[in-house]
Amino acid sequence: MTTRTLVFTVALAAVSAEARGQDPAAPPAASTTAVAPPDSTTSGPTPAAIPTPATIPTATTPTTTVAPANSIASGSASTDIPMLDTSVPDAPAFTILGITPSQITRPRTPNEAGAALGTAIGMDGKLHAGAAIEFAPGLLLHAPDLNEYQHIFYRIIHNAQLSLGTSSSPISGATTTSGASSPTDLAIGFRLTIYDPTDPLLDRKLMDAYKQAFSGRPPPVFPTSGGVPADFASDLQSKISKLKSDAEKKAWNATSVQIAAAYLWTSPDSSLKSMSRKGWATWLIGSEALWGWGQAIEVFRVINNTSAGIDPGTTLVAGGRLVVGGPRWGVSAEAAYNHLYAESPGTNDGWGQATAAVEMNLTSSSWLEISFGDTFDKQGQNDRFFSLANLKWAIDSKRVLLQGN
Amino acid sequence: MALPTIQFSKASASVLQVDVLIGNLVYGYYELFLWDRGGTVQTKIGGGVNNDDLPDTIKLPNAPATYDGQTLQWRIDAAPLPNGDTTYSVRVRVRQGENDLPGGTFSWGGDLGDGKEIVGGAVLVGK
Repeated sequence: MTTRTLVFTVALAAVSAEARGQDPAAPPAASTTAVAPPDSTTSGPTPAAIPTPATIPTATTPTTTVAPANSIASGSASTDIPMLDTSVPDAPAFTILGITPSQITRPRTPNEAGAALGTAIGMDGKLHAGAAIEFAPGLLLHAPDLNEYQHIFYRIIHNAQLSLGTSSSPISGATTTSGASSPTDLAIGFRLTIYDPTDPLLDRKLMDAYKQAFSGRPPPVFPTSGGVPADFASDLQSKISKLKSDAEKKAWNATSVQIAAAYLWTSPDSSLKSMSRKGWATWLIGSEALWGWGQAIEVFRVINNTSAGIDPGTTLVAGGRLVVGGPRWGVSAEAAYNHLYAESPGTNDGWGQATAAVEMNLTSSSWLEISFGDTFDKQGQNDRFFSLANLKWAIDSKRVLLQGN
Repeated sequence: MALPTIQFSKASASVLQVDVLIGNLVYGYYELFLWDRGGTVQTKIGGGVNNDDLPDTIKLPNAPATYDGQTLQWRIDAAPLPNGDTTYSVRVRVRQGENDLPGGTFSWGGDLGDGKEIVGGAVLVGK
């Protein structure tokens, strides 16, 4: 699902450099990379070609600053406001590959999984670029029904997701051994929601209320066709809308814990035997409800890329956000520490970031967000925290400050 | 719009079965009915909630030949859940034993909006 954001920046690019006190001759401040998490895309029976890989998150362009998880930022200046990315990627393999597949194969049986794997790794032991596979391994063996799903054991099996993707290696320095094959990257990712009480299927009272809404209706008259989908009758529609909105309001600041990890290999000649490690990444995101008035979010993320173009290394982001508000508004303060452990020690760097933000619900599908923040103590960047250039406002289709929304 | 037909074998001993699958993260509620040949007597033969990715299966317990000319009817509701999906998918599949029957698979899907209801049916035709 893709939601769109209109982003308006207060700062103009021309103003920005001066306002930040930068020397025009100095090297530009290390930019940050906006990485939109791969959207859930249309399932397809076969994987289709994947668009040209985007830039892999590298050590020199840490993904500290990320467009809100449900947003598409427009305009480069908009990414100057560092906001913690509090989302766990749906498919970590695609994230570490830096791709957004147009189609994802989601096998439901072991046979389908085998066939899908065959699109990534051929019988000749060669990697085939363009594969994008996502599945829950436990579901291949046993798909739990609703009663089983409400048991934590089955729920973890249901929610553990594996992702696997391949793409043509974007590393320009890569060479082929035979000259006949191009380098290919392979990534495997894992994602698990350890705790998520907002899952509506776990709320037995809510499920009973839904069932009650459909019970006791008169039977339908004799059919005249195979069936055409129609909107609910207005009374049923209002019952369901109330159940849904009440539950969403109740869970606006829910507690949750999610983890994800991915491992990336590259093969200069696309063969399995020539694969070598290229990188890895791990995400740990937790959020805790603070009674009825707020939410605390913790983010820990490490991305390693040994083949990054300029300064390979590992980036670490550790931070947190405190949100105070309610179902229709929120005020947040966040801070994070970033560290680049570069393979060239001279480029090691550690820096902080801090941002304050406000969001307000305008209509059912639009939120106004105003944020203010910047990084500090970062190499090659003059600190000018209190500058109008660090102010941004945006209209988003979903709220972005909370985890799990 | 004419009612579709589902062809089955009267001679086969395998019973008729109906699979109902309401996919995606939505609340799925369904009811199945049978109308007699004259279209005057309606009998509820099954119903329930299908929120998972597994189809519910309702068996028509009598000998298949007894259902010749009867009309199978379904009423299926897909309702939005809090923080759920905004699209839905529904599939009704009529089988005889493990074999899908000709004309026996129906599927719908798309934007869920504030909820969708599908009321339809098909005539069971024995050969």
